[in-house]
Amino acid sequence: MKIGTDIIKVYKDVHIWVGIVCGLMLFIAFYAGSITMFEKPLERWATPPSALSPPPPLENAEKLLDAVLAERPQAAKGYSIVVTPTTDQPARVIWAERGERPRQLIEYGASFAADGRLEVEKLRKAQTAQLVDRMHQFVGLPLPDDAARLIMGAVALAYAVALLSGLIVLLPTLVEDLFALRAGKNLKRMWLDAHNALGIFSLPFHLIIALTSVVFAFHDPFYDTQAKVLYGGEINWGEHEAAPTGRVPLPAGELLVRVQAQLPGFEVFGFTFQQREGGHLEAGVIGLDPRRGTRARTYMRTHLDPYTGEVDTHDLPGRMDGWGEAVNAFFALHFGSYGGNPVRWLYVLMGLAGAALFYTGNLLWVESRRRMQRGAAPVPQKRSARVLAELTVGVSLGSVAGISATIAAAKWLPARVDDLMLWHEVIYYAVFFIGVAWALLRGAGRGAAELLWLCALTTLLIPFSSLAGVWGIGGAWNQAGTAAIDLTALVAVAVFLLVARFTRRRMRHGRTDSVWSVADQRQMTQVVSKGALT
Amino acid sequence: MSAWPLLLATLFGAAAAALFYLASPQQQWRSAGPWPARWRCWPGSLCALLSLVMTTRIMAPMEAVFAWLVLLMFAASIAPFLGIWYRRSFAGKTA
Repeated sequence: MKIGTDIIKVYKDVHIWVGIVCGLMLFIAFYAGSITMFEKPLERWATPPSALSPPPPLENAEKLLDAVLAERPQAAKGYSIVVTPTTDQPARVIWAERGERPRQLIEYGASFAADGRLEVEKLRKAQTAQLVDRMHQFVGLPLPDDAARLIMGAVALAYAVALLSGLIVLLPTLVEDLFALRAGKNLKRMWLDAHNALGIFSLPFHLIIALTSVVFAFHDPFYDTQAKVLYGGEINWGEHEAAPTGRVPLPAGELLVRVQAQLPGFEVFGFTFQQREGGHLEAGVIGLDPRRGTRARTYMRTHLDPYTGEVDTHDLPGRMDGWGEAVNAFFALHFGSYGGNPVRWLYVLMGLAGAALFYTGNLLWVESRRRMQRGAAPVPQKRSARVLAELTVGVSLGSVAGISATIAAAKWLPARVDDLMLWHEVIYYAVFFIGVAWALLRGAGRGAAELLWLCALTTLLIPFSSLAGVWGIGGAWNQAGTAAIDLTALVAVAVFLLVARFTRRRMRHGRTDSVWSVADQRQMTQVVSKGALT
Repeated sequence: MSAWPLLLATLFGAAAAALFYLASPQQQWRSAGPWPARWRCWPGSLCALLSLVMTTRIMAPMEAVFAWLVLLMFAASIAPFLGIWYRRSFAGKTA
């Protein structure tokens, strides 16, 4: 395809500068996003064990509920009956009560002790996965949610612009350079090919992620405008017909049988109940059909008549209207919430490849500004190239190490602090800013190798925390069936150490006219020292 | 979710990306040049189609297409990296 060189230059400039401004934020978003693909397993790994007795059988759920309502009548407003209790939902009956802070809801769970006495426990669901998700949603910015969301929306828009401009730049050579990866003396060509290989085939994936992110960021303004323009002020979501009062809801065991008969292939996790005015009960069923995508990431939810067990299927994927399916697909495509764990792993790999795309983009910019060594005399590299290389290393590896450190802390914090979220944030940002400062202080080459060791060390702390739990050290614990998290962390440690080895080799034996070379660091130190002396 | 259709869908998808790469003039796996010399897209397309058929066995149609596309995108993205790794590790030594 022929496109004028002046047009290509404009799009190239747009692609480069948008990429430089947003690339590092997108790296954090993609890396954290990869980890959130396994939000539930991570939450189960990080949640402290419950002190409640084992949940009673589902057939006794109503007996337990009656005991809870007798002791805590406020629970009647809204509660859940869990069909398959898990470590993050360890009780058969769960409800929420208002906390002291605005919008704060505290979850409680109940069970029967061996002597038949009612046990009530404040549930301590881990907040680690929530923090990593926050890093993903707000591109790692330590700002209030509203401000960070707006910036994230702008970054997502810029990301879409960078994708399209990059495609236009590549169009003239797209066919002949497809699958090209020329690794030779021309490092700029190699990084360009690597950047293109990662970007061109995954372009549809990246476009979907960019566009859905824009929608998520500006979700509220979109709905407000829609309500004002199309619905005269307020969207009418529809009211469910009130059931006649005085009827008795079916027991949870019977509801389960009736739901399973109506929804084959749908695994029921639990039922939710809410008491409305006049005393009638509204219910919902929560579960998952892994063959279909869901907008709620790990579950599907729809209404259920608690008196007849009839499921209102219009909120379930595959049974929605056209618009509903389109919106659902939009969410599912971003979250990878279809096809179960195989698709989740694919999204993890695509997310890591996306993070590598932004990393290689920055390296390409640095490589394009290399000052070549023409004789024996050393050539210090440009300050702009040096600083961007250091920031690329510091921000990327600082965020990786920070996320690992805050995950590892999940098993130590509950015994020591009250405000878990605050401490998780403090640990993440402390490690992150130390990483950035270290890279700026030590230079890109040395900093990269040393920060990769830090990443390996902080990631190694994840299985060590579980091991400490097995041995009962320092209040840590180990949940059965969560070894996959520890094994994945061990694989990541091996990868970090391998990359650190390559980085160290390049720093020592690679070309000296490079920001990655230890020789360039020495030249820079000499220049600074001479400047200080004069 | 059945393991066999899932495994076959993954294998056919990976094979499709590998065959598309092998048919490209930029491929680095085969020193004799791209394969096949004519009708280059056919072997890869056939594997991709089989992968899609297998994916529809385990997922709803729309979700199957999404999952299949993501698999092909990922496999095609890493093919050039595997190509250069193979050339450096094996082909380079025998040449």
